[in-house]
Amino acid sequence: MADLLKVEQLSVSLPGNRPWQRLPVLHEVNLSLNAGRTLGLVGETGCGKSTLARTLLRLHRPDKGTICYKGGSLWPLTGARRREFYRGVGLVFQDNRAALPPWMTVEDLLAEAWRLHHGAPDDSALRKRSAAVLAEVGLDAACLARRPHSLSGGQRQRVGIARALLCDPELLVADEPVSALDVSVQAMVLNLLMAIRERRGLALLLVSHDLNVIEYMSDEVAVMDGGRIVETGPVQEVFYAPQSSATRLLLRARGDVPGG
Amino acid sequence: MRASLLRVERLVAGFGGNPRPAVRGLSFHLAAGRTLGIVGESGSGKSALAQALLGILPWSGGKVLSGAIHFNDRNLVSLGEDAWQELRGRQMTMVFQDPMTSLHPLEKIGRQLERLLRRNAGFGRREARERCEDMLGQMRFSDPRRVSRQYPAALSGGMRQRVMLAMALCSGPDLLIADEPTTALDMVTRAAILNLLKEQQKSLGFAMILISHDLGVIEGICDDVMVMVDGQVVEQAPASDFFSGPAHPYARGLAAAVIRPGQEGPLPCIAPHPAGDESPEGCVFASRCPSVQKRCRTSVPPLIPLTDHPAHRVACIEGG
Repeated sequence: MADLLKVEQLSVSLPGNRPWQRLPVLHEVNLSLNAGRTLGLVGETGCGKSTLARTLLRLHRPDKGTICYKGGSLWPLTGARRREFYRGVGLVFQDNRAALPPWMTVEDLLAEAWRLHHGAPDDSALRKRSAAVLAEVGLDAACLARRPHSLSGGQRQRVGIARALLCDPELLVADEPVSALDVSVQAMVLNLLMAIRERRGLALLLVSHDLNVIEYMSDEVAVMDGGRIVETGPVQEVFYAPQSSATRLLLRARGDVPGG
Repeated sequence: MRASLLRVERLVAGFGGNPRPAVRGLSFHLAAGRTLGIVGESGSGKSALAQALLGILPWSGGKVLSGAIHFNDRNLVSLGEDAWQELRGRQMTMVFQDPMTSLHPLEKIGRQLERLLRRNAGFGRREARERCEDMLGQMRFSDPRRVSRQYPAALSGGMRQRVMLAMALCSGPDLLIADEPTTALDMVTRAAILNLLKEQQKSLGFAMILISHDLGVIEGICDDVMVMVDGQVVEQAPASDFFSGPAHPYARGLAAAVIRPGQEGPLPCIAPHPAGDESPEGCVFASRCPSVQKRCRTSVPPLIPLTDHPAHRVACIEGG
């Protein structure tokens, strides 16, 4: 099967403290994700997980290397291919309080997302579609009139997922989608993500520092350390026969803090 | 058993705009040098409780409505702000979840810590400087001098949390209240912070209240566990008893929802709060309980000991 997303020799640096400084963050990263598969990205804080995810979304411009989405490079990206890319990739954030503008109702939020990708919406059709995605994430249509702050953390994360699903993406990028939630709510959101992934055949790029979450959700896993991918492979192999010291360190920390 | 350091009796505390108090009739005690873990979902009143214990509830528009907080044989509820200033930061200190916002961004670590050492521990200027590097060294910074000359922005989350810990412990407190101290950290850093906490507690002997929604954290570090649902205690037990068999349906659900290595299939989870359900009478968990009975909805089950474990108390007609 063709790769949905293929990253080769990707190096990224970010602006430093001084205007002329650049901090190298990612070094020669290679990665591929097939349609319908889930890739887990783990590593300690500061190892470059989020920068990698953000670069894949074109939020940072790479210094070197290529990122291909459906066989075409992301740089440059214009016209129809650009629209196709942004429509095809959905995003779920960790901090859904910050990711959902507090002054908008859920209906506005969803309409805004639709407008960005498809232009002015046809109101009744959009309302129907919004209600349908909300139903898919287990919220009823009454939520359309609510604002984010009146929802619980778990409900807000569901709205975030609904927004990501609105334009029928093929790839969902979720950066720490459950780390701000307590265990039971976390379990609920993970169940939901699993169900949606099965139903829609979505590819999922899951960023998390929680090895249990990664192990539970992923087909393949990539372990990052110091801006490099130090180990990658099927989750069973990486977690049960770790080759790199970074992976072993993470696994040991999981042993120190059971559960979680 | 040692005398209680902290004794909370039927504490009711709430926020102005909300007619339903966030903490509703809570009682517990904590002996010197022990660690109590408080577990509960978001909105269960854990943080409101911590704020009440620290006397900072008014800062976020809340207030203790009734009940008593005895700390070192003083009732803190009637304490004025001046007396609180004397107590807070000295005998009773805190560490919060977010080390990003708890430190002053424009002041070097050393200055912030030295100020606390002078204010709270009564050191002179020079002593404070020496002690500052000492404290940072105890927090396992390899180069304390360098750290003391840095701004918070230059430190990682785990490092900032260690600085916070140095600040909280510099006055030699009797009680440390840690509200979700590791939630914002990754697993490796979290393990390091918890080990540091344990080690410091062993050498300094302070009592600790650790608030977390993470059962793994609680299990690793606490002597006793208290489970809160909706502002009330539903289960209280020594940690070993609790983790070998949580008794309240909420606690059982919570333990089941933790993902374990090698787990497959849908994860069990607790039903969310039904919208608009205020359950004015009856058990706080009745509307979500998998084994709810008719009388759960009409009477509040008291917190009673389990027959074979007298220290393990549960507020459930099933478990009791």
